[in-house]
Amino acid sequence: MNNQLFGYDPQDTWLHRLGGATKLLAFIGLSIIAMASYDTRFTIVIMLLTLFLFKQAQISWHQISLVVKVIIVFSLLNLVTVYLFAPEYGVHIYGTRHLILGNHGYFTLTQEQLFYEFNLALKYIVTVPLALIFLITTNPSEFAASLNRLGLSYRISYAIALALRYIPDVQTTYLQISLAQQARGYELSKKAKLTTRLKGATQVLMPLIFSSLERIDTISQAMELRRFGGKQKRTWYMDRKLSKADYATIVVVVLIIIIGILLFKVNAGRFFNPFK
Amino acid sequence: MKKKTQRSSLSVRTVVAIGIGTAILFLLKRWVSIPTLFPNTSIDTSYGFLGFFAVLFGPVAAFIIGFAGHALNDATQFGSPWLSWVITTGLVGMAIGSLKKYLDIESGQFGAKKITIYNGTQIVVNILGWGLVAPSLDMLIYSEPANKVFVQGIIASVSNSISTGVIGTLLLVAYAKSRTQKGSLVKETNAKPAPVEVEQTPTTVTADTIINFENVSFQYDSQAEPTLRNINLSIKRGEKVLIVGPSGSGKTTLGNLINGLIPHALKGELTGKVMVGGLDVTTANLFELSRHVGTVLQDPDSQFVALSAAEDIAFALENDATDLPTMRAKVSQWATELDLNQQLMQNPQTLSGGQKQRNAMAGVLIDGGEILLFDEPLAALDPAAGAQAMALIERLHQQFGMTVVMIEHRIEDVLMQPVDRIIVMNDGHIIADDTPAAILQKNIFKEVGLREPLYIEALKAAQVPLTNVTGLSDVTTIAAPELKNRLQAWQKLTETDDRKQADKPLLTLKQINFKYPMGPQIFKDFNLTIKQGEMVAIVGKNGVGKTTLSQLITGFVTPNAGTITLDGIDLATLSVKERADKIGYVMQDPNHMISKVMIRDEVALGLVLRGLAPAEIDRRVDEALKICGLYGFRNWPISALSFGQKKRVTIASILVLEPQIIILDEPTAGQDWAHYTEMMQFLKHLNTSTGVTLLFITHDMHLMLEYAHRTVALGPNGILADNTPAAILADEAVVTAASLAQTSLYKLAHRFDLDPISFTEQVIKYEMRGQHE
Repeated sequence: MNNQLFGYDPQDTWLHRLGGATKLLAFIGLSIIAMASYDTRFTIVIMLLTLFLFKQAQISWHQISLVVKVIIVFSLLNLVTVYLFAPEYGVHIYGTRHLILGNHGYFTLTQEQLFYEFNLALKYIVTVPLALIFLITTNPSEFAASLNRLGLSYRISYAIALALRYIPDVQTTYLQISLAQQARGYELSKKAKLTTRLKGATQVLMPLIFSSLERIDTISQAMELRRFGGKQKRTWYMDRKLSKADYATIVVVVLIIIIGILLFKVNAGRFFNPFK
Repeated sequence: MKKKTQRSSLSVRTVVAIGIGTAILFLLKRWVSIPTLFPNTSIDTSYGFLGFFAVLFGPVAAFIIGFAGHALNDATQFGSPWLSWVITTGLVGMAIGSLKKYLDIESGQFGAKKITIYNGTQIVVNILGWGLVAPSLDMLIYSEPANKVFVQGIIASVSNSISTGVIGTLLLVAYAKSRTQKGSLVKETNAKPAPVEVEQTPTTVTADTIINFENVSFQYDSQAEPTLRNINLSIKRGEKVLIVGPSGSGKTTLGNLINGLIPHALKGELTGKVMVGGLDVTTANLFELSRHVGTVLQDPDSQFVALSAAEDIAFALENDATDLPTMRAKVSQWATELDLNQQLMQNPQTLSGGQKQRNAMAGVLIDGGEILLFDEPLAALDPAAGAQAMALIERLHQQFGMTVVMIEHRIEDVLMQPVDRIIVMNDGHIIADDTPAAILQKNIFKEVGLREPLYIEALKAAQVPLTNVTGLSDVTTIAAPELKNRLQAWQKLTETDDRKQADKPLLTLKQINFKYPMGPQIFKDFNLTIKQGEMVAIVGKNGVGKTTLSQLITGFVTPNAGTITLDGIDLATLSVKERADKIGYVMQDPNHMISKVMIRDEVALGLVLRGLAPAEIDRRVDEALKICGLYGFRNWPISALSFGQKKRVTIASILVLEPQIIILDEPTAGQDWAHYTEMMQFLKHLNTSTGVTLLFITHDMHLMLEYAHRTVALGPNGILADNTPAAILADEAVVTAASLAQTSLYKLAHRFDLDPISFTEQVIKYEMRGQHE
């Protein structure tokens, strides 16, 4: 059940064997540079690279079909909203105006706008394969260890592990409480007034949140009885030593980031402009 | 020096609060939003929760909860976090959290002034966060057009400040209310006779004394009276000791002194001297003590803090910063010892109660400490798993010479294995400290409201003088002159069964098929009829579908095929709410049901929500409160009640709806015999006076024998057996398959050639008569 949440699928590809810390670092590094750069060529290359890695991780379609559908809907919605709000934003960015449709009205269609929205779409989705690879190939237990390895305090790292540990428990409790309260007659659907709904929601949440407060005390006692927080550092049973593959991955990621930064210079800014 | 390092890093409690808070935020963000008047927009309840937790746990915790919870939600929903908004959620939480010191919610004061400050701040923070920070980040990261992101930002700031304001304020007010009223009421005084003070001389400490209490008294900061008074106790290395006592007698407090939670985690005034494993508890720290005492807590889900079994076993070693090879070796050694090798990579949700408990044991045994402390080890286990746990503890005790201290009130089940000594507590005193046989000969257990083993009850029923009995601590060794003849002669005096024979069918399940999506088939062609006015016990192994059965009846889940009818009405035609008017469901943990601060409001809730006239509500509430013996408390806050009383409040809040049938999930879990009897007598009275049909889901063999007219044992393929309770327990095949355990009466009957079914029924009848006297 907890694996289901993270989507972790234990397999034996080189991506699975890679340390969680390496993957997290690569994910963060590549995401930041892909977000920062508006160089279409660069983002397309990263996109192709991540799709290749996707294949390497042997991720099957059914594992990601739902997420992909959500992303498509979400991205389309955003792209349409952007167009509705600012149909000439591309013109503003690229400084030229190649009209395709429309003339003087508010809703014009320009090559610049299409190109800008294409870039935006790339941005929405370029990090997704990376994130999915990370989620699907990283053991959640190792995740906390890797956060610690990356320099986050072990207390905070363990807090994240606790969140993953207790999400299924909290969920089960919530479902139980919510059903029992609905049986008593709380109405949360559109039939009730907004204020009634808000109050009702609070009443349903009340038992969950208040019993969680008691739980926090019991769990922290259980952890103290096994010496959590006694030392300045701690080790992790699921920790993995860094291998050659880890170092190689980090080197490649750093190289890609450097290329991305160099492109800022070449383009004299974030945007690659084909209209000049 | 030590203080300094502690102050600079988060406390363990804050770490746990971050973990649980993140889990809750994730859950609310994902599943709990309230649709608003505008189409496709909803109010995100997670911001109200975040505001509440921020005020409770401060800026750092709130930032991480907001950031991590939101990021987890995005990652699992969209594949990757929407960075600008994730960061903003963290920042909003952090800003509200900075009010923590100023609002000081722990004081219990949260009046108009503080409410204004909280809301003023949160509105400003939400406007800044969602109207400025998030859109700016959107522009920076995604290069989206300004007008789009700012319009989005304005909508978000309005919706999120409504959530933070309304939900957050309601939660904070309720929290503050429960704080103030906890201590302000005079605790209900049970008119108990002053406890008989056993002449307790300070025990002499010898070389093999491992635990020693010398004139120890303790009073929690939050309580008006001491919980422990002048305790003198000495436990030798390698002893196996059982500490018993009714609820509130101080037995858990005694355990917390042994493992050092008192005075290190739970604050109060401690006098006298406690020595454990050669350390003075007050001067040694919790970490040193934990190397001597391994504690297995009552709630296995709170003890199991890691994501997999192996990690949880290794948890203490991880905290000692032990190197990986050593950890692996030790985990594998203890997993083998406790038969957990197959489960090492499993997560806690897939382990059974027994496996979780063994895992908890492995997790403390790995320290190599010499004392094992168990707080109610039987509470979370089914009867068969309980028997296995007792056998395992005995094995560890024998094999490794460990000192074992068990705190438990189910004496009969503990005594299935030998125990060296029993310590009986009452009202903060030790009132007896002797061998099991010596204590069983006296009437001590009953005097303090604990249940005697049933075989002792049987001997008393047959008027066998206990002073003549040898081997009294174990049903397989008891012997007395003429014992067999006496028991057989007594059994001949059989009485006719006066249990009510019901005949009008009330609830009928016909050819029910059910499976959860993705899950295995739970019910296939399942048939069951419950008759009007019956008291039926539903028993069976965990995971066999007991809870699912009750959820099918209440309508929380819908069968894939088949019909459920109540009094001739097809339940499929009714909504969850409409069914609740006819079928009441009482959850195991009353804290999961209670959503109001005051008792009266809680009981009235269902009627208020159904829009009844105030006069009618008052009439029904008063009646339900009277039936439940709560009328005197009607204007009390619920937080001032004991666990058992809270349970009654939840029953009263179901009773007001005047259901025809009530389903109770483990109605007596965690209650000592006196409270158990009180609760069950009350339910029995309810059944006879109002004719309401009662369905118990239970692991408690006593409950089933004493109160159920009928027992339905569920197995993996539907109903294993449907018979009188005593007959079910006599069938060894059913007992094994349903993970039940035979009581000592069956062993007694077997030893002395008695008919186990009628013998059991007769003893139970004798025992029940005693309860009325």
